[in-house]
Amino acid sequence: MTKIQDMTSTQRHSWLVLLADGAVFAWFWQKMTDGLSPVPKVTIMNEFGSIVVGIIILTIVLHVAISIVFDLMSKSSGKGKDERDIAIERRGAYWGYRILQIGLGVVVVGMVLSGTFGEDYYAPITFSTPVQVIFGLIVTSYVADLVKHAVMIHGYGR
Amino acid sequence: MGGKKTTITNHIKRVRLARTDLSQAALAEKVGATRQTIIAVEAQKYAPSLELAFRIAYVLGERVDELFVFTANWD
Repeated sequence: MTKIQDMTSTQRHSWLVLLADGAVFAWFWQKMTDGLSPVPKVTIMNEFGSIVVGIIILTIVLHVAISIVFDLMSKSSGKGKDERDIAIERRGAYWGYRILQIGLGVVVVGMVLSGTFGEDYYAPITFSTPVQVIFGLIVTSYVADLVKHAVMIHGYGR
Repeated sequence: MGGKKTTITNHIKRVRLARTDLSQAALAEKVGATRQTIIAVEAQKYAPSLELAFRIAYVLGERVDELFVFTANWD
């Protein structure tokens, strides 16, 4: 594994965002579900709303703080991204976008099936309530972001 | 692309050490790339863009086609 001092600014940024988003996502998952089960245990909208507001604020604060620190660091060192950083970032964004598409597809198809068949629709994950739909969208968005940064880190290691 | 396998290798490390006293960091600075990119290019892990290839060749005082070797297996 590359030592921290040997990493480019973009690689460090990617690691930090992966760890920060991973921690926030782990917190959200632990609040919302029982263990590894993908079914949300929180069903009351008020309780769910406070968790969602918490995750949104936490995400914004972390991303803004990380961006400001890296912006200041790259300005003071005069070293920005180069073509390899951009190519690796593009590959990460490609796979992140693919995951986002798949996740949105699963949510939309789940909503349609839940709406069409109602009680007759049995599946491990259903999207028949607003909590389930929003939970599905948040999970999709976080997994896509985590995949983007994981692919980027893998790209730097190749 | 279309099942056609190609590889691009280079002699940057050999030329850099033989002809100049530039370190990887110094070469990176001169061509406008990061040291990590020069390391990846020298280790044949990353094929640079045409512009970066020309910049490296210019700084090392070598022709691009002498510095980079294109191999195609297109049977």
